[in-house]
Amino acid sequence: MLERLRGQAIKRLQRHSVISLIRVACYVALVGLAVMAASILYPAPLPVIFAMSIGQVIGIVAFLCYLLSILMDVVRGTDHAADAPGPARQYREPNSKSDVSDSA
Amino acid sequence: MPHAGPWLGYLALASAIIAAAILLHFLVRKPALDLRTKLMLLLGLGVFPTITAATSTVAGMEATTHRKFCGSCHTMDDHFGNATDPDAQSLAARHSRNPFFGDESCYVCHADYGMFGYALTKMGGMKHVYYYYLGGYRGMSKEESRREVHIAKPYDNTNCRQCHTTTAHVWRTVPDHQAMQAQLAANKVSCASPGCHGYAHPFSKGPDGLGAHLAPSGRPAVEHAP
Repeated sequence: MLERLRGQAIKRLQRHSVISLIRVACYVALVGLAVMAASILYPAPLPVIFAMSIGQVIGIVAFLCYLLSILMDVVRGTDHAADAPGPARQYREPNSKSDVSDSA
Repeated sequence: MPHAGPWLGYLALASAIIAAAILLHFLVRKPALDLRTKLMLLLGLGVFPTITAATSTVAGMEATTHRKFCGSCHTMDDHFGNATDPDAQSLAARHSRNPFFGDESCYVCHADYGMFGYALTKMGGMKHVYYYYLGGYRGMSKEESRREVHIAKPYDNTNCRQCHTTTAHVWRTVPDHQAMQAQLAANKVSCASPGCHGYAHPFSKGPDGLGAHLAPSGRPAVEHAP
């Protein structure tokens, strides 16, 4: 059961490219920055509380996405384009479809 | 008492703008993900947002000490109006005109000055926000809030003694001070009671401004409504 879930999680992660994960991190960070900037421009109770709680959590999530994308990039290796889906060549099955198409 | 000044807010905004510019450049121009781009993203997603978060937190904490911030909820309109009225003679108004209290008169008088005072004061402030948005205060009219909303716990004389040390000669020569020194130190008698210096916000203490009145439930309205 756990193995299956782990496999599904890895497959899901592999489907997404490094670039798309960084883009997500950028959009999330922009939202966090907007929340924090709003608390400076309009220092009312709710904006200040949102900036100190939700805004900072959003910023941390964005940075974690960036770190994850760097980790994915390192694991995939230099022979793999950052925006290519799936695992790096060195981690693929030898008879996988992508290798067949590459050799063709 | 924090006094970071407005430059901290400017620094927070500047770092947020720089971070946003880096991120938008990446999203719009779509540069190759080489080492330079990765380092720029580290600045845009890590370094500058961290500076923004730290400085906006300090600036936000400082903003919470301003009288305007306290007066931003309508239930505090009367307190804010009285404190800023140049003709008012209440304790709150007279202290607000003192330059030492300045724009932070609510905080200077109501802050907790114990060892963990800053954190406890902020936790108390969070309770106020909770009561306002989720505890029903937001829907109250001014008349209702005057009747129902009261200080959470008896005002501590220690706060008065931050400035009025009770050791000066003039203070000691007042017979009432001499007679009640022990009670004042033990908070059994409040400096801001009707027989002494009067309530700080007398308009909130019933039509005559002299004392606590009864809530519709019939019991003295001395605590926050749940």
